Amino acid sequence: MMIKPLKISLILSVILIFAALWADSFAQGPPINTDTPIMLGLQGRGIRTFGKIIRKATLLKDGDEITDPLDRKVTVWVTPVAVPYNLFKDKFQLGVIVPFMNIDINSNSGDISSSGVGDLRLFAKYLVYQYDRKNKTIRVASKTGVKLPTGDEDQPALGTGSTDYFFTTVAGWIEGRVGVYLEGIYNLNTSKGSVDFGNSVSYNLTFGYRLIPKVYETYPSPQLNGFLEINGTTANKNTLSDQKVEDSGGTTIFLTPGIQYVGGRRWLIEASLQYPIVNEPNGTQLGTDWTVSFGTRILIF
Amino acid sequence: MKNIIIFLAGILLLSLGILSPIQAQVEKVEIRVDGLACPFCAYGLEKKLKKIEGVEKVQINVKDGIATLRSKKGKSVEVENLESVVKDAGFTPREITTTVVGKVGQSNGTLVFSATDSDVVFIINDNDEFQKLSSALKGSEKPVRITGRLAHDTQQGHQTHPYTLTIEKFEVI
Repeated sequence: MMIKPLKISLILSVILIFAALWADSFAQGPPINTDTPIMLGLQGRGIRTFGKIIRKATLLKDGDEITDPLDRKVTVWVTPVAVPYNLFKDKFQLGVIVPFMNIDINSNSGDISSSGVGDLRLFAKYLVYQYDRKNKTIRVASKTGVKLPTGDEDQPALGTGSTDYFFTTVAGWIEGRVGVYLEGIYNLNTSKGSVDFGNSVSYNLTFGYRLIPKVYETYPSPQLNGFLEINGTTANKNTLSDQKVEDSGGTTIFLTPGIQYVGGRRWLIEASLQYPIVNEPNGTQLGTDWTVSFGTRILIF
Repeated sequence: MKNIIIFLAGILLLSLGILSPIQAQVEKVEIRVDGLACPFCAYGLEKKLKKIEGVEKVQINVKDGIATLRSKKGKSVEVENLESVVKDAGFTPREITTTVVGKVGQSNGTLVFSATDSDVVFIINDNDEFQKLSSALKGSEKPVRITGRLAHDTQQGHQTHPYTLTIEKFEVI
């Protein structure tokens, strides 16, 4: 896994900016691409939706850029709608994520596209640890769920056609203006026909900082939060009829700056840009050039 | 039935000379809430506190971690389930300070608070302020405003109310 000097400079610059902010004091608001262990309270309901644009236009071979003879450009639009609901206790949450997708593939051999509902996810989250003090909380939650093969499998496919499972642990420490979140996800993937999808591990680390106001007095007050996330995924190779598919799986790690505005009691808007600092898919595959997310969350009670 | 039990238990404890119950109007409650580090998550707390019987207004000070509840005119804030409401919202309840208005009277030779528009009964902890209040009233039935700390009642066998009240300051109205 190699990180190029230019990327190292970029990472160090962003980290230094956040370190400088950290020195001033101690995020408020949930992180953008990382889960949160803080739940909405008993019978709390919310809805989250955002637009996510994923651009893949760089062909990589063993991590190095090569010329794509087909000159492919893939643009994926995903609009997941997530609805969590707290049940039985304040510590237990059920939820559903329905992704609406559009995939465009442009190449010199022609253009294809498809749109519709992707693979639906159901999850249950439980708060396993809570330590509360004045202006401070440390919480750990576990989440498990299933991805159902609801997406159309025609090309370009909106779903994998497999029923997969995921297991997540997320920890969060929030104190004053700063929030730190750490999330690990294990994706246990199954098969579709003769293709056995490789399992994967995702890992997210987030630093959040409340930019405005410096001192949060009385609720509700408008606030602006800045985030810096590291979002990574390492996937095993798929197998086809018990043979490893060399051009599958690999590692991608993004550096993700983000911004979030909480405008009132019940809504916020947010945006982030994921830029790959490690882009090493196995074999020859299109790498992700960037991902842009912008969205909103609304609390419904 | 609940009111009768509360009344009888109070009379029993009074007759034993151990405790002095108050029946009064709770006009303001402040509860310290720990874990209030995510203001966006405070919506659930505010919503649940507003559903408490008798509450007119809820104010949440995130900086100090204090939620303040004020009563509707002529009503009393129901404090009995306050802690469980905060827990259900996902936070940790701590100290509760309340401002109570009631009338002091005599019952079996002991000072008691009574109010016709509320069935809340607190047990007062005996301290210097309570002694000062007793002296200040000299057996009169003037209305009194008490600000004090609520704590879980640790008296065994006492079934009147989950909290006792320790007077921090009082004002004879």
